[in-house]
Amino acid sequence: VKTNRTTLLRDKIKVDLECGGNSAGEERMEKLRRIAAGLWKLVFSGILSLCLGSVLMSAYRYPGVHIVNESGATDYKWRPNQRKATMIEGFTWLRMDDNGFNNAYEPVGERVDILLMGSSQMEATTIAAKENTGYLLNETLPEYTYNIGISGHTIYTCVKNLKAAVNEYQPTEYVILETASVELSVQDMQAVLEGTYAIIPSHDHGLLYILQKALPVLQTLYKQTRDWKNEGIEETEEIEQVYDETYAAALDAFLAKAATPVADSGAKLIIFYQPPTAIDEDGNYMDSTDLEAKALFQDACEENGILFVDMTEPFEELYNEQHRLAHGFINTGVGVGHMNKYGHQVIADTLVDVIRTDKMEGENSDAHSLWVRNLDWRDEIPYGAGSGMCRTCCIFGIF
Amino acid sequence: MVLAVGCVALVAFLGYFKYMNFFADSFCRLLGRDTVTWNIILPVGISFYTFCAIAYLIDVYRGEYPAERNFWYVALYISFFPKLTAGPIARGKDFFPQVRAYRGIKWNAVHDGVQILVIGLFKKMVLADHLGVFVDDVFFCPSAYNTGTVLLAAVSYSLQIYFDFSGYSDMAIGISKILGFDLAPNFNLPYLAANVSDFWKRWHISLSSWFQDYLYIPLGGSRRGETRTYINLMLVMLCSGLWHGAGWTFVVWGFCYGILGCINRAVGKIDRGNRWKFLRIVLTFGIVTLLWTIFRADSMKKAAQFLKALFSIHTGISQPYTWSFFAMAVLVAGSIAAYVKSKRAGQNRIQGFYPIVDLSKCWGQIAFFTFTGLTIIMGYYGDTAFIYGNF
Repeated sequence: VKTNRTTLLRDKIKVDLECGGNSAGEERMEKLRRIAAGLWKLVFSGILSLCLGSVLMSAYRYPGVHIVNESGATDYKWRPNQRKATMIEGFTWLRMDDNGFNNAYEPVGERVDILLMGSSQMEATTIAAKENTGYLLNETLPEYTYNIGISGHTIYTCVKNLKAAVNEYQPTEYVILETASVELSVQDMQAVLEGTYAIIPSHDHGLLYILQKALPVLQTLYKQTRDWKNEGIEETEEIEQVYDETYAAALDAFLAKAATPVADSGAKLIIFYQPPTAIDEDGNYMDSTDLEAKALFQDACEENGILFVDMTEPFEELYNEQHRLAHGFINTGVGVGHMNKYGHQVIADTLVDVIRTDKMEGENSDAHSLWVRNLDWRDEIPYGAGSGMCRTCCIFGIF
Repeated sequence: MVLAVGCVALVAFLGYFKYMNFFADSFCRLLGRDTVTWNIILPVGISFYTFCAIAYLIDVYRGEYPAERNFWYVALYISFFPKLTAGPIARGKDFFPQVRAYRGIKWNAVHDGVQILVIGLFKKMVLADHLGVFVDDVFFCPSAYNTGTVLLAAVSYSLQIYFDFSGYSDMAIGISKILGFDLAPNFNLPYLAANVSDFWKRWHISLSSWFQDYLYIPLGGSRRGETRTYINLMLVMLCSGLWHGAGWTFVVWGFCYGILGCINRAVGKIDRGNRWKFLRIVLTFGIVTLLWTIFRADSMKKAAQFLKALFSIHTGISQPYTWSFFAMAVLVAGSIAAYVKSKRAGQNRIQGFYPIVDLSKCWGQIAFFTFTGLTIIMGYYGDTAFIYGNF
């Protein structure tokens, strides 16, 4: 090796001397040119790959770009007629309406009879547009339902925005609010009551907005990187909630804040609880809700004139009779994530029952009390298959 | 003497960390006493580097290569990080010459290594981890699912364990290549095996060859008569089962493979040529899949529950999990590509290969970047560990 190197060096010096040192410079230039060409190729390939990835993402996963909702009915909304694609949880391609919400049902007039609010469970971008609760309510009831459910809008955000939502849409009959939890945090409820609850930000201008719009692949890459970074991090240990008087008082005030603007507008507030679904090791339906928290929530609803609808039994019935869970898809874990079309169907059916019976009963507050009392899951009403009663009769205690 | 002391010490370490609780528990159960559990933390990859160390001692004893005088070379061989957690179980005769002739990181090796690494990531993150979600659900409560779904879960586990372990091996091979070392392939299209013996020549090749060289042959292999051969086969497969994990499910799994190995040896003398080869491949896959269900179950009780759910027609949750079909499609496409490539190369035996693209070309870069991007995008980022990392 040493001999070869010496020979090469000698030859190089000889050539350099003969060419007056130009060959060394040319060689360097050639090397630089090659590096520049390589880099250019790399950048070009990278950009082209990003474009190709974006095309694929527009079919595989594209949540869209959200913008600030100036009315305050929700923290944000999607761009008008925003297209969305989901193949990571169900298989759906959707288009939002002119206002940036998921409503496929054509309204007959301008009036909104029922306003549907909630989280991504109600936004329902993981199922077809004609399978979600809002659409099914419109199909069944003569009243027009408008759905402003949107991702990340938990009961806290919804209650925070409820007054603005009622002002914006002026529902004449009902406001339906979805909640995935009845075990609320005193701290978050206080924040809503004090007006300090955090608003979900929107990147609807500047470079981030343009990048989200132009290159959908970046959004997904960002999400995946964030998930990967959070993978090893254990969730902060939850402080065990004590359901004491402070909790009860905070809950009461929180639900009063929700009920007041709705009652002022002449409509009624319905809060329905859709619990997480799971099955235990023996294949039995599992209810993981804290019963004490649910009882407190139900009592607070009753005190504030809110109709509380618990989906635990309808979900259990769905599983026991049809072997179907309300949550989960054929490309996700069983019973986890968002609600599937069966879950939405059950919710729509139950809400239709509730609304029809409530209308039948009129605005008699005693009827509400009776309704709430008999709906109480603690009373163990013989309900469901074999009981000889329909769900509505059972819920409303009509024997 | 040195060999015996070394091997006994290594096996004792392995026994203490991995099998202490299992044997103590089994012993207590046998005596009808309350079970005793020691809080022993299993060191990651102990089965793999223990086997590397045993192989080194035996090879040196057999004179296959001289004892390595450089301590750091031996330390590197035993603890080379890409293969530390889950192999492949490298051999000293392949590894030491590379260490001695080491010339640093080379572009050509990086070019290939980085692509093999991404292929491994795709197998693990996109295929195996997604399959794991479904498999875990069904194995948790098989009786809640209908027969078709339980069957799909069984097949899915076969795919999951293959993509998980071969994905890890690919990553180990890729990273080693980038660093300038070549590790031998650990898998060669195992689900194209036409019998269980063939399966073990294609699955976890480094472990199978280890057992052959350091257990089966020293026991006498097939040289001491038919009966002894069958006993040796049973012993090797039982040890293989126990190596995979300290539990009765693994023992039963190994025992079943021992029985099947004996049957295969008894009837294998009949030359079948290529007749019914496809059916034999399907049958072998079915048997392997069935045995994986015992391997996967947390206990024999769970295994029995799963098999009962598999072989009884019943209703339940229907979950035609789409990732299972996607993984099947990838496996079939890969197998067809390997078949075509092997036929073109005039090889009788189908050989797996890595689809390496030329990264100096623009199209190669685009293909590589897009594939890498898709791997990140389609990857599952839940709580998933390498299955063989537990062994």
